[in-house]
Amino acid sequence: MLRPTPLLKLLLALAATSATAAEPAIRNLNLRGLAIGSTTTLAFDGDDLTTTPKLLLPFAGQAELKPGNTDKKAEFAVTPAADVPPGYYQLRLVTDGGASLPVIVGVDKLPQLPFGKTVESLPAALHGTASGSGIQETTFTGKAGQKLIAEVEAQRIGSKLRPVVHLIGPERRQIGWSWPAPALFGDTRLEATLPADGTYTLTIHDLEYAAPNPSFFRLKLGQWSYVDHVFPSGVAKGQTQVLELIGAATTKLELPGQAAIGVLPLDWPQEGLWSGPRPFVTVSSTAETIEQATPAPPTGQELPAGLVAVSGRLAAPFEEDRYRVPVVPGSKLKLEVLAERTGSPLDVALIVRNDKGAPLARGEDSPGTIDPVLEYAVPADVNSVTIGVADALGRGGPRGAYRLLIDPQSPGETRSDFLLITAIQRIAIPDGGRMLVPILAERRGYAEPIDLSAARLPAGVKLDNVTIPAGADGTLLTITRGEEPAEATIAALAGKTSTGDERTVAIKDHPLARLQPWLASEIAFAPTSLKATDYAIDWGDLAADAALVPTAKLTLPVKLVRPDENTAVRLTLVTSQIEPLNNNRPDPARTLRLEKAVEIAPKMATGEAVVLVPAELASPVYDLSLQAEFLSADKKTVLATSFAPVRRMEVRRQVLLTLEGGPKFEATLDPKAGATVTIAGKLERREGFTGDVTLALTGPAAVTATIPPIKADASDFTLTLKVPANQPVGEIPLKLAGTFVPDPKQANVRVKTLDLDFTLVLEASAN
Amino acid sequence: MRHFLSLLIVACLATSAVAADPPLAGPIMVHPAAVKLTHHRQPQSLQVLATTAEGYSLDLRPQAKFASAAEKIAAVDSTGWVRPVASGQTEVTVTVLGQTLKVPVTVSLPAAELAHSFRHEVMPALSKAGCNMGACHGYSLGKNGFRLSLRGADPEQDYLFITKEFFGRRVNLEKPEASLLVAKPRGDVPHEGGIRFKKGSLVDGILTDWVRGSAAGDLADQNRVVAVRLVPETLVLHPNEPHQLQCLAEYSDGTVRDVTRLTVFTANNEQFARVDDEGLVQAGDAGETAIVARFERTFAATSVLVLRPNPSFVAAPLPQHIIDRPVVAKLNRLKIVASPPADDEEFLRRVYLDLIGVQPKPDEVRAFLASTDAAKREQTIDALLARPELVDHWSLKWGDLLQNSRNSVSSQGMYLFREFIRGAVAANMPLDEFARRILTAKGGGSDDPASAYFAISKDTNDTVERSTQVFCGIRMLCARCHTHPLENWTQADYYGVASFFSQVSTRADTRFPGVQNAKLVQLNLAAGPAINPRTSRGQQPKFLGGEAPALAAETDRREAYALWLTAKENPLFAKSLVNRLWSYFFHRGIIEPVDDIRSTNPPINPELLAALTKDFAEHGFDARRLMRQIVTSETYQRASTPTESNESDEQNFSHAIPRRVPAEALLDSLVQATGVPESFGGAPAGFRAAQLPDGNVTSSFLNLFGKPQRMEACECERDNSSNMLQALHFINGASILGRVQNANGRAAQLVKQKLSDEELIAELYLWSLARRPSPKELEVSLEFLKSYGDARTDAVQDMLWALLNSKDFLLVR
Repeated sequence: MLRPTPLLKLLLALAATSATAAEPAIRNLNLRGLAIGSTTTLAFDGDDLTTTPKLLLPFAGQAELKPGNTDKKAEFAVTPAADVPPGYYQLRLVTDGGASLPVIVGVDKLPQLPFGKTVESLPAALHGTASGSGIQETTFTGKAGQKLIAEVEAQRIGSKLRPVVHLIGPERRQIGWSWPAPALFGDTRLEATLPADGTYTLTIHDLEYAAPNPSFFRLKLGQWSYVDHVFPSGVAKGQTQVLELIGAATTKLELPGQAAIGVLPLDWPQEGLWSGPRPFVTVSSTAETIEQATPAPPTGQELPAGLVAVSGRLAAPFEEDRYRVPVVPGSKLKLEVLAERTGSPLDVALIVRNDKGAPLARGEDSPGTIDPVLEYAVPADVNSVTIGVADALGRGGPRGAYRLLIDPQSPGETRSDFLLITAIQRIAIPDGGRMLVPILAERRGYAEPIDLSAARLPAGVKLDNVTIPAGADGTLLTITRGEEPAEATIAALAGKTSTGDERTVAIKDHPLARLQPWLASEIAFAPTSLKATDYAIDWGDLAADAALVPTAKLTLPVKLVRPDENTAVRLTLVTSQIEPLNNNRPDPARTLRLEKAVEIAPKMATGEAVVLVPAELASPVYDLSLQAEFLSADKKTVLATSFAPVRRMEVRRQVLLTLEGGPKFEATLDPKAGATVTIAGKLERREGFTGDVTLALTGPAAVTATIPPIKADASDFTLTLKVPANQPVGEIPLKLAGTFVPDPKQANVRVKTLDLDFTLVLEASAN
Repeated sequence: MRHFLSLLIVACLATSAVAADPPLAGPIMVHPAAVKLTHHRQPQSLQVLATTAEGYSLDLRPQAKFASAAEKIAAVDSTGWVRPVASGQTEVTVTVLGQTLKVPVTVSLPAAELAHSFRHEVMPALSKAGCNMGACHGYSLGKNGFRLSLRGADPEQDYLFITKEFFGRRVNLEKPEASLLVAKPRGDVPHEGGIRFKKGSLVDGILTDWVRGSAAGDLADQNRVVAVRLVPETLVLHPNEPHQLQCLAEYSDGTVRDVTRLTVFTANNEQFARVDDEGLVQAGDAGETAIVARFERTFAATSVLVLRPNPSFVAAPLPQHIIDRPVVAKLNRLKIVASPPADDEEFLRRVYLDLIGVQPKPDEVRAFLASTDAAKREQTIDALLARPELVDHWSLKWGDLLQNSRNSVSSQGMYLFREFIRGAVAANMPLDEFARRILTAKGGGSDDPASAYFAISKDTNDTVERSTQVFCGIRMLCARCHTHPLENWTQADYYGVASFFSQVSTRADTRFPGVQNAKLVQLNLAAGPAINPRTSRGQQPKFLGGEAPALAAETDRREAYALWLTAKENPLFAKSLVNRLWSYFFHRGIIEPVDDIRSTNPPINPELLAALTKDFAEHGFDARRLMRQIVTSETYQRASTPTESNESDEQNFSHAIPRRVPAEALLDSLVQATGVPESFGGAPAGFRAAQLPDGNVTSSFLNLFGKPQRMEACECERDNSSNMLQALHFINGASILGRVQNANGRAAQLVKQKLSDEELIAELYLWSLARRPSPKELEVSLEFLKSYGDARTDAVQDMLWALLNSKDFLLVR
């Protein structure tokens, strides 16, 4: 498994220095909310705010800087336009030094007030902090029969508070309490009907009375409407669908057919006071089905063949919905349910049953969630199965929605999908400067090139190196800016395939990725006043055809420009490699890295960095650059950061394998003797390698191979495969790979060739 | 019918106006009032009973004369045993104290004498002889190669072992009296277990005659003992006075059999009464105990009260209060004069410690003492019931009982369960709802905080034992492996309850990767019942001591159990909770130990427990209401100083018995008294001892004073005893010395206030003991202060230290 996060975090940290330390930072905010159509005063605490920061609003409205600001404090009178939809938004401060990281605010029509001892009138959104073991308390006047909602937004807006709320009545008896709920992403909501007239007390504290920082909260108190789920949560492209917005009550909405796939924020209903995360649906290219209202036969509702998604609801405790799907014998059926991850209260079990209803396989949880993922190998004589979606814990009810994804995979068939991720949330670009943004492709079967583009770029900003090559991990997207003035913007990056499939580039591990996914693709582009030409790094005498040879070292010569030659320069390698992992930890042995830390001494205009190329590299090509940090004389401050132009380097492997007549080889299976197949192959040695190669076959244990070692003077080989008589006929996927020692002086360093995939097609004997 | 006949005899006697000495409170009763004999070998004893005007039980059988009107139908001996002779009807005349009573006798014998029954004669005989007790052949591995089921739990197995094992060498059909089955326990051949019965005894006769009759097995006989009764059910005796008991077994076919001679009798406390093999009770010292009878595997008990005559005793008038009435009634029966009410200071400190777990502060003491309102105690109680410390104090008790601990669940799960408990206490959630919420919880802690209850259980058996102990006050552990030795519970009972919980298991909660003990309580509705290891078969769900309900397939069986458990008419739930709550305010439960309720451990005041139980159930299992009833009672508010009359009584709530303050309340009171807070490792900053989340905190003080680690669902895990280490800690420990000498502590603050000596002493007493000094104490204290001269700070510190080391601080009086 590849985990790009650590590397991206490192790059994020590096990128953060690119606009020098003057990039603004928000430490705190007095209110984590804004009232639509009203003016709310937001007071920011932070660093490097300058005296003229701007508030980068993600919606229509006004943000007026109030007088009296300092470099550590800034106040804005913010008025969202009256038609701004309620929801969560990200606010950023922009200065000449760049853009801050975002803070999340809740936007609705509730009055926004600091948390205090008393609330004069409801509803209201109260903003406060519950740190450590502290218990925050407020009171309000209630009436008998009055319905009340007390909802805390904390985890959802970036706080680490695990909120617990207690409502205490006029007689000091507790009316109710609520705790961090998975369905609210760790936040809490208490709903009560007040039993008597009088003064009520509401307290908030951390679940373990040890709130980590930051521990701010936004307590909404009173009555309003919200949406917890949308049913169905997925619709097919072009399909008109009536959606249910499910909250305390259910509202229906007709969604016209959508042309583009992706996440679609929904309009709020016209009537009512709405608050909370904005609802959305996923428009997919997949066939989408709704669970039938009429009772299905015991074998289940009939579904079409192929990739299909079903939106259903387990309306009663312990209910099981069943779906009958046609399957190809010998194929694999990949099943997944989305329920807990979309805020449903369900704990779902997936059950594969035969036509008589007997269970064949069951799935419960998957990593990080109680939603099940199940891969079922369809037996050779089975043409249909019934898939059960069962409420395992009796939490079925009106809110018990789920989405079942059924993905049949025939032998040899591969899915073609990918995700694009980055760790960069803000880009500060100096005048005439260059920034690199690693965009990594998490490939799920899709191996072709991906072209990147951006929406809402500031004027004069251009993208280069926009193509992720076929099979590559990613690209170092190069962003350059001319010298013309430009305004900061909130942009988004996307990647498109040659067939037109488009995916938005998402910020990895973004806190709102599941709640309002479109916010996870917001990237702030902020021009800075720094002159890029003052500090520069470029390649020295680096060969145009420089490449990455496994286990070899690659020397990268550089030349530097800086106004003050007395400054040292620190060099860091930046690549488009997805950081390989071993047991979920970064694996340096498989990572492109510098041999040692490089710092170019003052007055040196040139230098070099040596890259260690690991023995295994999965991608055919990687982008490389060097980041130069120009240090102050005391080396405590980074004066500027610059990047060498990106070099895309091919991986040149020392050994290539080919099989004659492949990649499919047919054989007839004798019912007594089995089958023996002989395949001829060739081995090509390159990059000066001349040694022995040992080949190995990977595949079903029953298939054995006789492969003699290939000596240094040989390049042809013969592969003899033996298949036992009891092997089922059909296609057998196999892999051939070789290992060798590229440098006899380092006998312990072995290199593995790329896997050579081929298929043995077994047919039954005519006898 | 039997009742009607008794009434008839009583009515007859009432007209005979015979003088008796001592004076009787009512008529002489013969029990049973009518005799029906249907078996050649099953005679019936007659009890001749009366009650004196002073309330003592009288056993008149030794002085009664018995005569049968037709010896050819039924014979009666001088001890009152009526034996069948031939079918027909007759009557037995009982003459005693100048009165004559007639007992109709009906004999309906089968044509021929029935063969000896293995199930109904041999098995009870083996139990009577002790052959199948745990120390002998009832041990799970048997003894010396001979194994019997414990206390006759498995007659089928026993029959096989006796008659078939080792080629049937234990029975000698040719020469029955030479059978090892009788020869060994009779001592004819060496027997490691010694002589168990004599030749010619009843047991010898049964066993020998059974072998003589071909050692047949009547294993198909479905007739079973359903209940055992002792007559009389209560005894009030003079010291050293004897009284015979009669044991009657009721069978599933409706017949009743006098099984006195085959019953095993034991006394719970032989200081107060002993009992012999024949059921003859011999009273001992003045006091109270119970005689327990076991026939086959069924128990019954008779309470025995031994009283010295007290002619000068004047019974107290019976109050109306639900608690005081049965308590005073009992004290009247015991001829005990209760202590007077506690004074205001004693009451106030006691009720504070008992209700909210901390002493009153000086201002609270002064205000209470100054008040002249007649209802000030009730007002104070109501105010305490609304205090937030009440939530801390009672949530701690429930947290202990429910074993909420980070040892078993994740930190988050533990805090969620703690919050659930606190919420329930704060809302005064009815305890039936509280129990139902817990016993039907499922999911992870973040889905349902009460689910931690099941996450804490090691397995289904653990759940059975915890649930029955906490919510029924019954210890079922023994019945997991064998029939309960002191109660009627069998493995079928145990696994019948287990089957309600056998659908529950836990799995890792994958939503919290890397979090230790993050568990999710899951249900497998298709799971079968628990397996009874005795039968190796699934045991169908059966309520504890109740029916086996018909449950729909694939439903959560816990729902049915929780509803049954918390039903108003359930004999276990309300009683156990009332008893448990009661024990928190007194030095013991009405049944003690509180979580060992069984027929062989009867309540000390059944009327009190019954009245409170009924009231508790009828008023919605309202814990605060029950607490209020208790603390507003005269019984609770009595002084701890005993009277001459009640100084030896520690069971009947005639005066308050001083108890050591529990660990958390002691530490919180110490912190309050000294003004120096405690910080606990492993707990949130600022938490008081009563607020601590579980036992996983660093506090040598709490460990020393018996704070439980929540490893058991037993009240006994909390150690409220006193020991030398505690005393040494108070004398030299940092908890006391450090606080007393703290520069910002109470002593230092009081010195700074420039108070007069009298005021200073009063403040020290109020902060430490929550009372004012007595005149004598004031005098001594003034001398003490003067003796320090100018070293006033030292004097105040030393005096505070001395007060904190006094019994008045360590004990709830």
